[in-house]
Amino acid sequence: MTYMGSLPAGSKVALEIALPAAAGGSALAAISFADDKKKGGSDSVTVAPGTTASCAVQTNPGVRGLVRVWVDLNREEDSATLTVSAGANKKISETITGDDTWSFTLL
Amino acid sequence: MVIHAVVNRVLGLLVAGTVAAGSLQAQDRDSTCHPVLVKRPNLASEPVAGACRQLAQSLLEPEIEALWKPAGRVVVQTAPRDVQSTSGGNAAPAGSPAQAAAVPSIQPTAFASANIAAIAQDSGSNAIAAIAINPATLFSSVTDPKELARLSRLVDLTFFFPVDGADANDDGRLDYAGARLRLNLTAGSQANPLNARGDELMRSLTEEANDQTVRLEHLLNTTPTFEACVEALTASPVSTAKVEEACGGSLTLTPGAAYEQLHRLMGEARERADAQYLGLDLRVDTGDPTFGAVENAAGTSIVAGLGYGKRLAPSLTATSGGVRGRLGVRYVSLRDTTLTDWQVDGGLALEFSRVMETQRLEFSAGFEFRYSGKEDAREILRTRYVEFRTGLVVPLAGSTGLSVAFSTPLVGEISPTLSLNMNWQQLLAASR
Repeated sequence: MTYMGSLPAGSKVALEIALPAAAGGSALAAISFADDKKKGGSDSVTVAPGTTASCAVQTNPGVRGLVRVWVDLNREEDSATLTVSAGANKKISETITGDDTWSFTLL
Repeated sequence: MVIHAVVNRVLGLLVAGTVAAGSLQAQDRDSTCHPVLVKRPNLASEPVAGACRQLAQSLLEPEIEALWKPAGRVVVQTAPRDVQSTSGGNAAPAGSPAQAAAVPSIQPTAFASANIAAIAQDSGSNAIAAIAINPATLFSSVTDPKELARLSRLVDLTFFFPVDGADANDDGRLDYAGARLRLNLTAGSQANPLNARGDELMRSLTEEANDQTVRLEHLLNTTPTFEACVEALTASPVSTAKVEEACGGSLTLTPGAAYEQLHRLMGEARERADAQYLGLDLRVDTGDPTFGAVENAAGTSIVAGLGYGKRLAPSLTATSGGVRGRLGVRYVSLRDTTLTDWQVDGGLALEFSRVMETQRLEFSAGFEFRYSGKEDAREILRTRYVEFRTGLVVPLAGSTGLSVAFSTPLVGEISPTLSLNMNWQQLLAASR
């Protein structure tokens, strides 16, 4: 549950999840956005232990909105490393433990 | 025309002036929001432009999170339980004396189910146990609700056998046993709209979160008492009444009901998706289905047929009615004689049902028939009859249910039956 700041509207926002081999099972990650012109999109990916996967949404230029990412881990004690990028720029990369959601503002 | 143009011009200037003033006001207010924003965790380097929008979203984050963490766990997409059909068949073997519905559905059990039936017919009383499994879900490791929506509707296998002695007459052969296969040809067309609706509803939660952010941003941009407003918004717990008093505007800060609404809307989508089906109904029986009431009736029979059903006005909250039909070909070869026969086998029934959480309360009544040319052997071959059938399935606690079924011949020489069934089914996970 964390608000993570702003991302440039119009960028392709990608979520990458790296799940350690020690994880109790596969995890599900998703990304979704909605903007002030009522446009939106979503993508999700299932990632197996010991692998990395990513999903992304293309946001609309010049329109403010909201981006959210979710991670549903197999066990609450599992951890994963999440990286969110906007275009070529990495916004944030952190290791989480247990399910989590992050949100961003499109500006 | 000239007056019209002038009026439009004046209105245009007024609108432009209002927008420009609003924009200037928003920029000014962004300068006010920014110092508050950058004091919040992770946000020290955020820009001034759009600071009120960001502040609004960061302030709303705990409230918005309730949309996706209704039970303390993150819900990324609809849960398997959301896509599990309430119309999935139970394990009561169709075409046996334990049949629980007037005309059974070919919609398979989602994962696994079991049934024990106490039956009474001309031969006396017997008990039949049945287990149904859906191999597509049971033996795969699929956890994706979208894939489960299809697989849980695709196919199941049912095996049944008597529990009061597999070989009561000690002839070294099974007295009566059988298998059923239900293949739902409409599994994909049921799952696709359901999954599309799930995606649409999950996206609507993101839209709801953005709409709430826009409303709070507007409040931050227009409140005459900014500091008091922010103070009320950062209090723990947040009081809607205090926020409205401090900010001078109304704001809804309780989006938690949205997920409950999603469950309800998914339920309605599920009922619509499962309201119509067409599928394959394969049955194999070996032994004596009359349990000794008819001499030399033991044999092997195979039925291959199609089953169709349509429920009108499907609803999550109201009783709906529908029709079920089936038609197939039955081949029978008797064990103790040289008799074989090809028969037409079918039925037509009305059903009335209502969703009760994960199951259905269901009443059905109709007719089943079987026909072939061998009139003189109709009793031993169990053919040339029409029977009235009725069944009532009552959900009990959790995933168990009780059903009572009755049949009586209208034409022909077959035994009436009365069966009392205990049904149990495995539910799919309520969260991923």
